This record gives sequence, structure tokens and C-alpha cells, in this order.
Amino acid sequence: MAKNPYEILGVKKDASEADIKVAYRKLARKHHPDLNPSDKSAGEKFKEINTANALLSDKEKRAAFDRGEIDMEGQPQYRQQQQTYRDFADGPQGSRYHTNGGDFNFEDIFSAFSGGAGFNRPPAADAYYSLEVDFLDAAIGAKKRVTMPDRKTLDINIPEGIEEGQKLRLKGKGTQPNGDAYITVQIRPHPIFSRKGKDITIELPISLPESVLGAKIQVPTIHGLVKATIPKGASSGTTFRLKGKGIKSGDQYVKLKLVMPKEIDADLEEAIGKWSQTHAYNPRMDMEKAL
Amino acid sequence: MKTIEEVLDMLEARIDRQTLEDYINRQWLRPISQDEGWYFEEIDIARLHLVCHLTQDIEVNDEGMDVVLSLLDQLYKIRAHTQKLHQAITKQSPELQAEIRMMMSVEDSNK
Repeated sequence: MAKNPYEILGVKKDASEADIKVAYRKLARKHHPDLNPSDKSAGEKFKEINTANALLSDKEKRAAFDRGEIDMEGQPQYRQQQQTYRDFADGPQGSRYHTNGGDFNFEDIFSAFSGGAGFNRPPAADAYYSLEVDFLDAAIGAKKRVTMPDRKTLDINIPEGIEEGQKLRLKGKGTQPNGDAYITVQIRPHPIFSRKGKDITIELPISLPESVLGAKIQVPTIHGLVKATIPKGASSGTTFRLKGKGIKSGDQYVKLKLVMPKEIDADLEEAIGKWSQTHAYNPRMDMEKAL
Repeated sequence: MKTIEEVLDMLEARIDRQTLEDYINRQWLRPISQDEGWYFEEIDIARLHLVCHLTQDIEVNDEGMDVVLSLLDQLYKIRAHTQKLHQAITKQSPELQAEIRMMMSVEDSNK
């Protein structure tokens, strides 16, 4: 396929010499192979840009090309050295010009991988999946048999306390026998439990009598129902801790929420009305002081 | 190895002696110094092509050249380290390699 130098430089057929120069410089900066050592295609592209520029910046050759007398490849190629600086700089001699930029520690080398030399690319033998697991399975651990989108069935051992985004590796379960399966875990939220690290929190509704008189009640935890005592006079927002009822050695925090009866009937109204005449109190006292 | 004269012959249209010596004084090029002369290895010549391209075609100015070359030299050093590390890793057991790959794909683990 015949290449068109105007298209390569991205200029119009009637572009001025200055336009061509600007376009060439912009592309040369972007595609110079020594400036893009990780990009293997940069060398080819750069050659093409130079060839196009050599033709268009030469008035006679450009005219000849415009007249259709010569094609782009018919011209003497840009005389690029056989090997570019990159070839040497990446070789053993390269160390002569290598420079340290400030502190260079081992961690830097590892982080350099992610942008770089192709090591990071997973071998084809590995398989990557993502899996949504139930909140409770993630909290207390579970064994699951799961069918993946590629129809492969995997037995997955979800460890206790696995966290959102964590990866599991199943050895030998890749697309080929020598590969592994990597599973990124996502945790489905739970309607009553929420989680912060190893601790679980829940909001527990209590009734007005329970609040006033105190009570022994059953509190749901990720390990099942647990007995707990509500102290007399507990308010909305009062929080207590159930030690060891979180994930692994974590705790569960229970925040109480006072729920009034659905209907305020005459009995309640009368009782409270009577009581309040002699027992007025202002729960906003601290707040008013702070203003 | 080539002498400065041979190098100037090779690049005659591109660069004159004074400019080349200027590049050496600025440490953009570090040919081997021996018997009061400069000797250029392949890498020096390739680097000279690069310097010419940057200064002449792209018109990077002198201050800019110091920055560009310093960054490039750092980049190539890191690439060399990375390659060494890569080679060291490929000599490890497949298990360990998979482990390392996994560690590197896990973001901000254990935090």
C-alpha cells in the first residue's frame, strides 16, 4: 500500500514549509524510539515520520511527489543509524551513562515493573475471575462451589475475614494445567451488619419500655444470636460492645435505636403527661450552653 | 573505537568540531579519554545521533538538554535494573514467580 507523507505528518496538501516543520517536530518528539524505550513500535513509526519529512521538506522532491513521479518509498530513506541509542543504553555498555536520580532503593525497582518491561503481563495459562461473596461467608469463611463465566466449576475456600478486593489463588486451576486461577473477591453488603476491619457494627431497635426499664434481649451477631442486657435508661445512640463477636478476634458494636410504638394511645399519653408535670428535663441543655 | 576525526567525518553534515567538543564539555557525551584524545565507542556515536536529533531537529535548548538527558539516563538505569531483576525472577521456581506476580497485582494489600 502506497504511503502518503502528508497523511503521516497529518498536514494538508498545501501545507507551508513551516507547517510541515511544526508537524514533524511534534511527531518526532512523540515517537523517537530513544525517548520511548518501552514502546516497540516507536522505531518504525519514527522512521516513517522521518521519511515523510525528508520528502516534504525538500521542495523538488515534494513537487515530484505531488506530480506523481515518485512515491514515498522511492526516495532515499532517512539515514538512520542501524542501531539506535536505545539498543546500546539497554545493553551492558549502557551503564556508562546511567544516572541515579536521588535515592534509589529496591522498592523502586518493583514499582518500575508495572509500567515496564513486560514481566507484569500474566502468562496465558492463568485465569482471572472476580467473585461476589455473601457478607457472612466473607466474615466467617466458607467453602463454595462456583461456576465461573467460562463454565469452569471451582471449589473455593473463602478464608475467614477476607476483605473487599483481596485476591485468592487456586493453584493449577488456570486455563491450562500449569496455570493458576486468580479470584478477586467482592463482598455483598448485608442488610443489618456492617464491617470495619475486624469489627462488626449493627443498629439494634429497642422499644420504649426496654429503654426505660432495661431488658435482656437477643442480639444477632455473625456467629448467631447472643444474649445481652440493655441497661435501664438506654437512649438512642447508646453503644455497647460484644467482645470477641466480630471477625476473628474482632468485636461487635451494638448501637441502640429507640423506636416508639406505632400509635401513641390514650394510656401512654396520659402516663407521660402526668409524669412530665413533675419531672421536666431539658436534653438540649449542653447544646444550648455551647451556643 | 573511533577518534574524534573519524566521528566528525561520519557526521560531517550534522556537526562541527566545536559543537562536538561543546557536547563533551557539557557531559552530554562521555567518550573515553586516552592519550589526550577522545575515543568513541558505538554507544557514544549512537548517543551523539540522539543529541543531534534533540538539539537540531527538535530544537531543545541547552538547559532543556540537561533535563532531558538526565531523565533519560535515569530511565535507562531503571530499565537496566528492571531487566536484571526480571532475569533473577525468571530463575526462581514457578511457584515463587506466580507469587511475585500476584503480590505485584495486589494493590495496597494488608493496609
